[in-house]
Amino acid sequence: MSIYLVSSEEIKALALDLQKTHEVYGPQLKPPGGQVFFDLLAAGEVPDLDAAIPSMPVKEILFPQMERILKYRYDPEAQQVEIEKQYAEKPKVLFGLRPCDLNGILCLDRFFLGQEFVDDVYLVHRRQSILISNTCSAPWDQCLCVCTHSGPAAEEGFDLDLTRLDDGYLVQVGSAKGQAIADAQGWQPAGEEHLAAKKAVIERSIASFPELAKDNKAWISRAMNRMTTGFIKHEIWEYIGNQCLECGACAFVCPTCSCFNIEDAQQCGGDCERLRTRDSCSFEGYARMAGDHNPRKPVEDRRNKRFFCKLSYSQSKKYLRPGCVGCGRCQWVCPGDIGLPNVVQYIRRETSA
Amino acid sequence: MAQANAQARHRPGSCQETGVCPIVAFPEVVNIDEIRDEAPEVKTFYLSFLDPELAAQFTLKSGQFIMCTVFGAGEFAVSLPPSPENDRFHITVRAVGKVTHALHALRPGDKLGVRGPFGNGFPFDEIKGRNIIYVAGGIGLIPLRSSIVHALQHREEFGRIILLYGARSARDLLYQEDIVEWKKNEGFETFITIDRPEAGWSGHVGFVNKLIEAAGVPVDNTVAFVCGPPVMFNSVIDELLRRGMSEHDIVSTLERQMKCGIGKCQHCSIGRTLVCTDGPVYTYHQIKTLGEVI
Amino acid sequence: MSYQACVCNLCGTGCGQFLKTDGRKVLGVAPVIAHPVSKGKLCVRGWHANELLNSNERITTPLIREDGAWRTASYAEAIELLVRRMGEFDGPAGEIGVLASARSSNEDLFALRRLVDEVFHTHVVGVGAEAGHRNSMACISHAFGYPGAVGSLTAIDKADYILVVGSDITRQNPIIGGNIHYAARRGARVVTMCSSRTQIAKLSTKHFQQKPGTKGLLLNALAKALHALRTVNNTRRVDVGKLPGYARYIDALRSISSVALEAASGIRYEEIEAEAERLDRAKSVVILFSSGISGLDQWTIQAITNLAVLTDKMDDENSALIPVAGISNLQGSFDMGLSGEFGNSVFRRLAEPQSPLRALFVVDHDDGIIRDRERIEALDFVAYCGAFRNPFMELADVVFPLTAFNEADGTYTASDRRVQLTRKNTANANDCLPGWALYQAIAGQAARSRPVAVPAGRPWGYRDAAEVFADIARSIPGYHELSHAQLAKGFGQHWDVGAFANAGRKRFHEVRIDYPTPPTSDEFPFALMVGKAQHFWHQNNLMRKTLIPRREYDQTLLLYPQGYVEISPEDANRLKVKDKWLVRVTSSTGTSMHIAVKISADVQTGTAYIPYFIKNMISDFLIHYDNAFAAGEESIIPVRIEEKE
Repeated sequence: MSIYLVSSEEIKALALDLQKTHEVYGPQLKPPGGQVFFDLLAAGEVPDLDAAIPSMPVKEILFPQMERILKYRYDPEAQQVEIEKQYAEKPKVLFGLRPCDLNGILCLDRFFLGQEFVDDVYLVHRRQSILISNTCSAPWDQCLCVCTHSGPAAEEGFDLDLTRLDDGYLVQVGSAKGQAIADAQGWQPAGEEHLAAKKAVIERSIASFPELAKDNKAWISRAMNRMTTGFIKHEIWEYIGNQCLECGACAFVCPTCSCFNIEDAQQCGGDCERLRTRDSCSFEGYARMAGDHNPRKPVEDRRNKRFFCKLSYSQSKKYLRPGCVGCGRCQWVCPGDIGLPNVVQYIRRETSA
Repeated sequence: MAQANAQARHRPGSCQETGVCPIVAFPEVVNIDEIRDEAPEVKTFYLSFLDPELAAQFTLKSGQFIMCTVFGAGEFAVSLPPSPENDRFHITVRAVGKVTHALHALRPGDKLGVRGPFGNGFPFDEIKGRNIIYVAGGIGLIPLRSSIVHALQHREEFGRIILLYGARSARDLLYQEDIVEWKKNEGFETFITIDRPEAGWSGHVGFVNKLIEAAGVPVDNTVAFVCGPPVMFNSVIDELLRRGMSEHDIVSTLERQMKCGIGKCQHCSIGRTLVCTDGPVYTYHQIKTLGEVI
Repeated sequence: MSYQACVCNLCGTGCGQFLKTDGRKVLGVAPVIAHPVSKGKLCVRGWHANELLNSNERITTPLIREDGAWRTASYAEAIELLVRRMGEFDGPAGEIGVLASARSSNEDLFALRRLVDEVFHTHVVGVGAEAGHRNSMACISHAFGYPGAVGSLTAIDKADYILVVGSDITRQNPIIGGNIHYAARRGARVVTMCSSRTQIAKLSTKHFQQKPGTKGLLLNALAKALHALRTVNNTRRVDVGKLPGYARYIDALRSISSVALEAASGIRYEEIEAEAERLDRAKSVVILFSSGISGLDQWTIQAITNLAVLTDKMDDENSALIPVAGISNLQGSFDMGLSGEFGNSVFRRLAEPQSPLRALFVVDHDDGIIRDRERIEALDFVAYCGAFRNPFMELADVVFPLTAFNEADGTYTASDRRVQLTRKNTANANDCLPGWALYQAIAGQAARSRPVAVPAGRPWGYRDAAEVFADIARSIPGYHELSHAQLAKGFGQHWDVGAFANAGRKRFHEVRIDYPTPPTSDEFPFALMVGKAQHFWHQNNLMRKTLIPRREYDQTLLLYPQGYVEISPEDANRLKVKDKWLVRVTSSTGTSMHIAVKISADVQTGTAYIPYFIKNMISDFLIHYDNAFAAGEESIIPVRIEEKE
């Protein structure tokens, strides 16, 4: 595929151009504390490509926390019902995706679109969307994508991929859709030297990962092996379960967690909305059935479930990669300090003992 | 709206897999034609699609389920008791939660939403020429009904067909009229038990696993369909295995909380399978190796 | 579509929260990573605030009851009615009661306080949870010279030694619980004193599982051991010895008998001595206890403050003594003067058949416990204000809608005196007035209809919440340096304890050493205790309006539809009952209820534990135990448990 060398000004021009036809989402800083969100850009705004990893995963846009998918009105007197679909399609550009988030989207694509059934609600968000990724030239505190084969540079799934070099951005085209954009923009072709420069950026980036993350590379594959064969002692899960405060945060910030709940909520005027909200397998009510049977009661069973989903081989088949994309957000948000990297450590500690 | 559903109906993939084209995304509206009291807290609802085209298209396999919307209350998964052929479209539901209670409060003429049918269904092609034992406890007869009617409609394809059915009391026995009809079939053997003795009951008393002995069930060239509450299920399985039945020949249908029916919400995941798309019908061998407590 | 920072309003921790909103609807939640207390974490309630704020169960317009049915009304009409009816009652004579909400903003509370003083003229005021927190404030005020937390919640992150007294803190204030867990993981010593094995007990370095009702005794014993240790080592603190009350305190401590201590609490004195050594070695100490409706009794809080003063470590920047509130602005409601006077509690007036109470003005009251329902029904006039629909509305003659916490500017004071500003980030769909504006409108109408004496220099005429706050800064001690403009800059600011003349002058309380004998008997052998559970936050007025937390709540109710009483496996064996079996619980006053058994290894043999959200329990069973509310965590009800016949 083609490669181009593009100036910062041209990147901005691209973002503004795309805004004419698409909703453009990109990294931006929010007060207080300058927290980074991958959010809708206001007209004339451009994505901040130097911003740190967004604090919430980009699935916020494709798989929102709460979504109305259906609206209906039932008239019990007339015994009549009117049903109305609630989600509308707006083509989106996700501009400046970190490779971990891009990989998260690819996991969600494979899960929501690539199985026996297609998930209509996700498809509506995803159809016609353009993915523009951005190579990470340096890791942040909690990053571990080098252990999960999902960074610091994107390898597949993007329409355009950006890498910041000394003299501009190297743009690599990843799809016909991306090529069409490149053709329309009329960018300068890049050369081999720019690919070499990108390689150097990646190498520098990998070298600056914390020792723990680099070391984890072996840990994660060992943990996956253990998880798959099921030889992890119950006490480990109990130890982890005791620390779980059951907030659900790990699932909410995980780029690949896709569990949801559906509820019909009655409106004041008799209208009913079918709400789809994110869910977490760590909740007690998650697997409960009406009439009092809960196959997964103790909290350690529920923790076990989640890490099995992230790390076992059989689950990896679903995504064609591990269920963890190494963004490290679960470590950020966990009040019990049992983010995935820690769990991997516990498993390793057990297996090396 | 109609257009959106037409698209959903013809979604590729699922149609190819099952030969049936389910309603995936939006509920289609059905009318409640008739409601029958089946047992205390259990009612049967006879349904028909408002859209005649859809009514003609809608086909199902024994062992499948639908997602049923009670407007204003929510959606729930319910197994389909009707036979795939020549049977009225109906569901039988016990009131256990918020949505099923709301369903029980409805009258004939009220509307419901239906998505589906979903799930794998019973493996009929693989069991031709064999004996079938149905073992049902309580409302466990509901998902087996479809299969029983289907087997009787194709009586010549199977060996002995035996129904072992247990309920708490005589009042809790479901499909009593059906059972009378089924008994008219040659070689259909029925053994029914209730948990405790009661006035006017002259049949078996005790738990359903005791009937296995009484019925002298065959083991060779036999497949057992078992469905009921966990305690009953386990005791029946133990008894069948003790008699030398293979784990591969014991078939059951699992229930889990379901929100989508199409393998996305993941509420029904057990180990590495999803009950809605990989199940709900599993052999006991599969159930044992799912990697989680049932 | 955008993320707007605000303060989580769902408990007294004061976590930073972003709401994702398009200005009309709240679409999602994200944690604030830079927030000094929550540091990018939220609990199950905080993560689902969007579900609550999307609830359809809102009050959308003023309502007037006419012939038993509601009709919508304009503000003008409803306010006119309210002022006219309230004018019929004699406030100074105690005919009007005002039940404020500890979830309201400081601005709303302050304006309500003015309304009470200038229009209703009543002393019968409270927030419902006042008893517990008032105790905490009185005790801390005596010991440290100001009514508020000593130090900051952020001290947990650096302290050497953390003592959690009682509180099931990972359930009640999960983010504080999480911070304590992190502290334990970095090597701080975390000690929990709790009669049941709570999650924080499991995560602690040391758990004292004393017998119920002996926390205070245990704390005093720890103080005795600390003092003895310093005496032996010749490291007694000279300054501490000069503090008022020292001699009597030490005398009382000396009288503690290790034999009697062990008999009463089940804890050996040697164990306490070992703990005292560790406490003595610590440079900084954080002590946390829960305050509010389920808080500790006065004697236990006094034992806590005494121990804190005795350590002589509370002036360290990483030390703290925090009465942890379950409600977002419990501290603020106390600061604004809404928590009432001793003996004048609204509930006490309701409970006394001969009290002159005739009218009630209620803000955002939890629905689970409408105590004294019959008395309220018999009142001449009841007004209710709130953002969400609520069964309390059914008792009202006039109802006013309010904005939700994200629909108006307002400040909230967290458990550690941190005052934080939430900006309006979502429009109220029905243009409802925020509380302060409603109370101002009521005061205005009152002034027009019957001229009232407005104290000089106290005009109303607030144009926005910032102006109300400016008035707060002028009138409320400790708030003088604060303003909306200032608070908007960061993550809030602790109010200044220096405004209190006695700040820094420490004092000891007189302590009472007694060895509680279990109130249990052969006839009533179980000590029943009341507490909280994860999703049963308060009476769930709010959590019932979410989707996921409600499901989690229903989960337990489905398993135990009649509620449950937790007992130990040994007791279950002895009673020959199994999990979920129904039992009859009979109390020593003769009340009884049927409830399911939940068997848990986390409760001690001989004790039984009931979450206090179960409706019929509150009204029928506990209501005879005023102590259950007054004594909070320490309340013990002797009961008999039998298999249901």
